[in-house]
Order: sequence, then structure tokens, then C-alpha cells
Amino acid sequence: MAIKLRERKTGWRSILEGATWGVLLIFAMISVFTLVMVFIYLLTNSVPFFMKYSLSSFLTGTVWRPTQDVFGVLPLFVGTLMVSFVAAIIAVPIGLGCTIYLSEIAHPEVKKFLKPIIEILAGVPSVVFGLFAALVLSTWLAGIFNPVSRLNALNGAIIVAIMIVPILISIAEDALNTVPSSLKEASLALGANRWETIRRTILPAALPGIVAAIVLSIGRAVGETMAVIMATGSASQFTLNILASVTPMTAAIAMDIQETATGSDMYHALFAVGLLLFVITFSINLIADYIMARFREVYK
Amino acid sequence: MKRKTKEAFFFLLFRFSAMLVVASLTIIIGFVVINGVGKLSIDFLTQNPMPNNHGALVAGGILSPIIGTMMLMGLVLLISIPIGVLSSIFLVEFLGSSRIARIWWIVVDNLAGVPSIVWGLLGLALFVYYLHFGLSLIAAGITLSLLVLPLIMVATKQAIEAVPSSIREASISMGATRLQTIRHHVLPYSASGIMTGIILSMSRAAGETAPLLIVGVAVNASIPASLTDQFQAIPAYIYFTWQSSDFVQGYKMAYAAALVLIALIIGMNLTAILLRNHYRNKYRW
Amino acid sequence: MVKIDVKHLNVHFSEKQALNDVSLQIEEKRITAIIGPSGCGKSTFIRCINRMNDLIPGCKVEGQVLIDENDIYSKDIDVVDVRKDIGMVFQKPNPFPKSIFENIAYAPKIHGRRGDDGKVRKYPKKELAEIVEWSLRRAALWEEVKDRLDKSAYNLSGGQQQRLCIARALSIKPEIILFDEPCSALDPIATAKIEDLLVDLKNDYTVVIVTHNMQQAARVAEKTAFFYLGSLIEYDETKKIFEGPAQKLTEQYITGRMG
Repeated sequence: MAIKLRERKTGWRSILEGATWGVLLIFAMISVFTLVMVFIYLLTNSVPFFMKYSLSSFLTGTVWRPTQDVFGVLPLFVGTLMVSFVAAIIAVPIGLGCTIYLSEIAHPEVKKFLKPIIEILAGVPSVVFGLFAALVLSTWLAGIFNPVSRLNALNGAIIVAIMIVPILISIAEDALNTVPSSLKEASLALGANRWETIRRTILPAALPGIVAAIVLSIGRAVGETMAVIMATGSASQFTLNILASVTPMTAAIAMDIQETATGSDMYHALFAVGLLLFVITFSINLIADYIMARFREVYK
Repeated sequence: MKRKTKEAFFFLLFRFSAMLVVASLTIIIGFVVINGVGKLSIDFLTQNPMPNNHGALVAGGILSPIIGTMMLMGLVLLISIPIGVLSSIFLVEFLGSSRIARIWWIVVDNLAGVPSIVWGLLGLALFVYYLHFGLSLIAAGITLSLLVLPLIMVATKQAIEAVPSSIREASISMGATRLQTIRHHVLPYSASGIMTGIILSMSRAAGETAPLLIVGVAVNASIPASLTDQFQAIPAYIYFTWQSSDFVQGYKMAYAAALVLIALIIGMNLTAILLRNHYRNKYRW
Repeated sequence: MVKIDVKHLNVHFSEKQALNDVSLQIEEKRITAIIGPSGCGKSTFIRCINRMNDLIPGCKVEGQVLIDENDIYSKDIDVVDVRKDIGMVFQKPNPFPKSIFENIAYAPKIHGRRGDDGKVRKYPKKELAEIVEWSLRRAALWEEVKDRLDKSAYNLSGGQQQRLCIARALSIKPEIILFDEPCSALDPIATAKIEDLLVDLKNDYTVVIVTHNMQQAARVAEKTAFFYLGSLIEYDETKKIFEGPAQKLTEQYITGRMG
């Protein structure tokens, strides 16, 4: 019996197939379109600002008083920097330590208990962290350091550190798990103890992934809004005093925009700050992507 | 230092780090529970907030914020799931690992890291002003949907890519079309991963505050009657009650609201974890 | 009678050439074995017959593969249709994560049945059950699973899963069945069962089997083709290939003096 080979179907089945692919394509285009709009809107709403005020005065001005048309972003930028940087300094050792513990040392029983806790910590909303920082943490810190203002950069940095630790752990743990166990076994078979194996074999092998984890968690810290609004007070002065009140870029946007009229200089200035924020976080993510891509190549 | 001592020392440090992490979660949740549970009552849960003449929230309950949050999550569900899941399916199955697809996924991954306040700005410019929705529930709903869209897309992509190619090959070798293979094999298998991604995105949307402050939440809003009304939401409510209270009054309402929010979010995350485990067993490979 | 006529088949994957001007005729209702060292193109060859290589990005196929004198690579062929009449069994058993019944009923369900009036209809439940039973019997698996058709296919042993995959391929009554190293993941007993099955199947189907196990080829196949580095070196009656090959390369491979 010969195989009957038919002509390309034109029946209802193939029309349905074509229609389904068409619908899927439409949705794909919607998602592309909407996500591209973010950047476009940020741009178009910041451009009016840059036509009136120079980029350099924006980036280097040390006073941010938008209600009086003074738009130097430096105090905000420094505020973001202080909070994120110090948060990273706190979060990285603790996060990495916890990651190594989770990945290499902990009993499976402990793991079963620890992992959900980290996942829950990752899910707590920033406003709750902010509440805790504003009410409890700040009081403790005030008792220890006697700061200029109770709500200050250090307060913000510590709470942001707690917030970014789960992300750090999650990505770093993936990196550690990707290290082939054959490497571990080779090291142990040569008589190295577990710490030496971790330090000399596993960590170097996982280094790109760990660096990516750190970079990404800094990105998260930079973008945090609610916790810093509530924890750092809201004085937007240019200061390097970690115990003084600061306003990071995110907080400035959130608070000032509520008192802004559309189309005013202040409105466009806030979009300019938003654009700057977008550029910073996008770059951070690209850097992390690049590091991870190089990482994958090494292990191909 | 002897080698063994070194190992013991460092391992102790690492154990300590883990304990710090656990402690911080316990302390924070502990404080919220202890300070908030006192204010939790049927009254609190069933009354609307009652701002005083100065707009300070010092009395009333949490009803409209709860409903507002629910409505927001509903909107996010309706908008972002179809767009996110369907477009991901198309991008993975149709464009595979082509150059366009790779660039696209880099873009999506990075958009997942955009600060929520920037999404708020977008919502303000586009939905509140340009499209004239005004400060409203719908503007906030769409803004939040955009915020979680990259998350849902990435979760869907990972779930679909986890389907072994041997299953796809088996289906195609029997004369099934790609769409039939997707429908009968890929989707059932990846359903649990997709659902987990959806629930986690919902949970993220429920906890977002900053965009809402800009796009439509109001201290004196009650339960929205239409999509263009202003609304309340639990995270924003926490912020407002915090602003309105002081150490003398003890911030009770803020803590209670925080407790409600945490309960909601932990509930959702637990559901996601349970679902994931259940379906993993059902479709074990 | 010639069932599959391959004419000057050239296959490239991106820049690499995997098959080099292969021409070969496969006769119907016989078992034809394809042997050769790793990387010689045996799997590529067999996957050309049901156009599974189309799934691999960057794959270019030149030449003709005529099945019953119709070139399946011609422009107006619906490839999905072609695959309905050719079954494939893979190296590693790949049952669907569904019940045994659902695994076998899958293909009949989605293809339906072409009635006398030419319209395609769905199979009624009773007929599906009959198809499932018939396929499992033909694959020598019915007795072992008849009481647990609704249980997951993953509960079966490796050999049983592979026979399930064979039953699945049989469910839509193909005319050709392709086996890509079907026993390489199985133990000797399971292998023997499948080899018996193959001999039984050849009465009704054209069987092409890729194998790296020369003894297997010698046991079951009437004709054997030896491939090396993408080219067809020798194709003849199995007895002749193994007892008095014409090509030196073939002899080297047979006697184990090659990879």
C-alpha cells in the first residue's frame, strides 16, 4: 500500500493553527511594545528638562531644591551611593557566609528549614522593612551612635542590606551549585579539608557568578524606594555623614512628584532623575549579564 | 593557625551569618506581630479608614485598603498573565535561540530590575496624564501589570525550557504539529512553573507601594466604585498610618496593617511553594 | 520492492557536512540495519527519512528521499502528514509523563480517522481502547500492563518503556518504523525481547534500525549498510557484509580494528 502524500492542507485545522500562531505573535508584539515604551516615555519627559538646564549643572550641582528651581542631583546621587554602598558592605559578607553555609555545610534538614526562611525574607514588602527601620532599628542605632538625626543613612543602609541578602544568596547559591562536584572531589581526594576546598577550588570557580550576584544586589539596593523613604529621613543635603539624614534618588522622586504640576520644570527634572536611575540600574544589570555570559563560556 | 582550627573558625563565621539572616527575619516579623496583633479585630478589618480633618489616618479600619489591594491584584492578573504567558510561549517556541530572541530576553531580564519608582513615573506620564485616566485604579493596575510583566515572562520561559527535548521529539515524530505538542505536552508540564511565577508576581504586586503613591492611591479614598476612582491599598495604608502616628500612640494601626500584609504575602508564597511541590510530584521525570 | 529510495543525499549542519552523497534503496517489509562508528552519520541518515532533522536549526538537506516514489523533501509536501505514516523509536525511551493508556492514545486522538466520506473524525472512546490494546499486544507488552493502563508510564522498567514507545509508534499504523539505537540503554534481556519483536514486526512494516551493536545487526537484519564519516561505504545482504565484505573499511570495522 503506497503512502498517500497529500497536498498542503487548507482545511480548518491549518487555519486554526495559523490563527493561533497569529494570536501568540500579537501578544508578543504587545509585550515588546509596552516594555519599549518605558524608555521612550522617560526620555521624552526628561528632554524638556535638559533643554533648559545643562547636563553638567544637573550632574554636578550640590543643591537639590526643586521648589526653587535648583536642580543639582549630586546630593541625591550621593544619598543613593551611601545607602547602597554601605548596604553592600554589610550584605556581602553576611550573604556570602550564609550562602557557603547553605551550599556546602548545612545538613539537608537545616537546608529544608533555612531555604524557605530566605524565600520569605525575599517576599516581605519594602514598606514593612521601612516601618521596622523607622521605628525599631533607628531607635537601637540612636542608642549606640547618638546620631545627628534618628533617621539617617546608616539606618537605611542596614535595612536595605537585610533586604538584598536573599537576592545575593539566591544567585550566589546557583553559582556555587554550578561548580562541578568532580572539582570538589578532586580537591578532597588530595587531602584538602572542606574549608581549603571551598576557598581554593569552589570559590574561585564560582567567582564570576558571585560577582554577578553582588552586582545585581547592588542594583536592587539602588532601586529601593519605600524602605529608604521611611528609614533615612528626608533632608536632601549634600553630606557624607552616614549618621545624617539623606535623600536617595528614589525617595526624592517619590516624595517630590506629589507636589509637582505636570509640565513644570520640577516635573521634568524628576523625570530626569528617573532616567538617571534607569540608566544606572540598566547598566548594572548589563554588567551582571556580561559577567554571567563570560562565566558560562568558561564552563562550556 | 592550624588548618583544622582555621576551618572551624570560618565555618563558625558562616554559621553565624546564617543565624543573623534567620534572626533578622524573626525579629522583624516578631515586632510586627507583637505590636500589631493587639489592634487586629473584626472592627479593624471591616471598617474603612477614617482620616481626620488634617488627612491623618488615626482611626478606622483597613477594609478599603484590603479591597483596593484585591482589586489591584485582580487587574494585574487579568492584564499581565495573558500577555506575559502567551508572548513568552511565542518567543520561546517560535523564535527559539535566534538573535532577536536573545536580545529580547536580555532586555526583559534587565527590565525586571528597573526600580519600581521608575515604573511609577511611567504610569504617571502615560496613563494618568497622556491617556487621561487620571489618578485612578486602572492607571495603577496597568502600571503594576507592566512592573510584573518581565517577571512572568521570565518564569514562563524557564518553565517551558525545562521541558526535555526528548518529549517534544517523541510528539513531533508522530506527526503532531508544534502547536499540538505545545498544547498537549509542553504546557501541562510547565504549568506548575508558570503558576508559581504568577503567584510570586502577584505577591510582588501586592507589596508594591511607591508606584501607587504616585499613580492613584489616596488617604481619603474609599472602595472604588469604578476603575477611574482613586483607591486605597494596604502597603500605602501602612505608609500613611505611619506618617500619622507617633511614639506616644505607638503606631498601632501601621503595625496591624503590616501584619495583615505579611500574612497575605506569606500565604501567597506558601501556596506557590505547595503548588510547585505538588505538581513536581505529579509530573516527575 | 523499493519502499524508500534515497538519492544523492547531502546534509550540512551549519558548516559541517554530516552526510556525503548518500544513495541507497530500502526494501519494504524487511529489516535494514545501519551500522558504523560513532559520528558516522547513521542517526542523521535515519532522521532524514522522517524529516526530524528539520527541527535542528542550521540544517540543510540536499537530494531526494523518495517514499513510494514521492519525494518527501519536495515543496508541496506537508511534513506533518509524512510523519504520521512513519514511526520512530528513540535511543532513550521517552514516554510522555502520562498514563500508559494516554501515551498510546495520544497520536490517534490528535489525528482522528479519515472516514469514507473523506472527512476526518475523532475516534470514539471504544475504538481508542481497542487501538491501545492492539498496539500493546503487537509490541508484546499487553500482558504485563493490561491491569494498570491508567498508571504512569514512568513506573515501567526501561525495557517496558521502550516497548511502550514501540506500541505508541504502532498506534497510528505507520508503514515504516525507524529505530535509532533502541537497545543501547537496555540490559541484555530487555534487548533480546525487543529483537524478537523486531523480527515479528517486519512481516507488516518496513523497519530501519540504527545500531552500534554489530551482533544485533547480524541477528535481525536482512540487509545492512555500513557508514563511515558521513559516506555510505557498503550496502549488501547482511550475511555478505559480515562474512565477506567487499570494502576494506568495512572489514576493518567488522573485525574491530577500528573505532
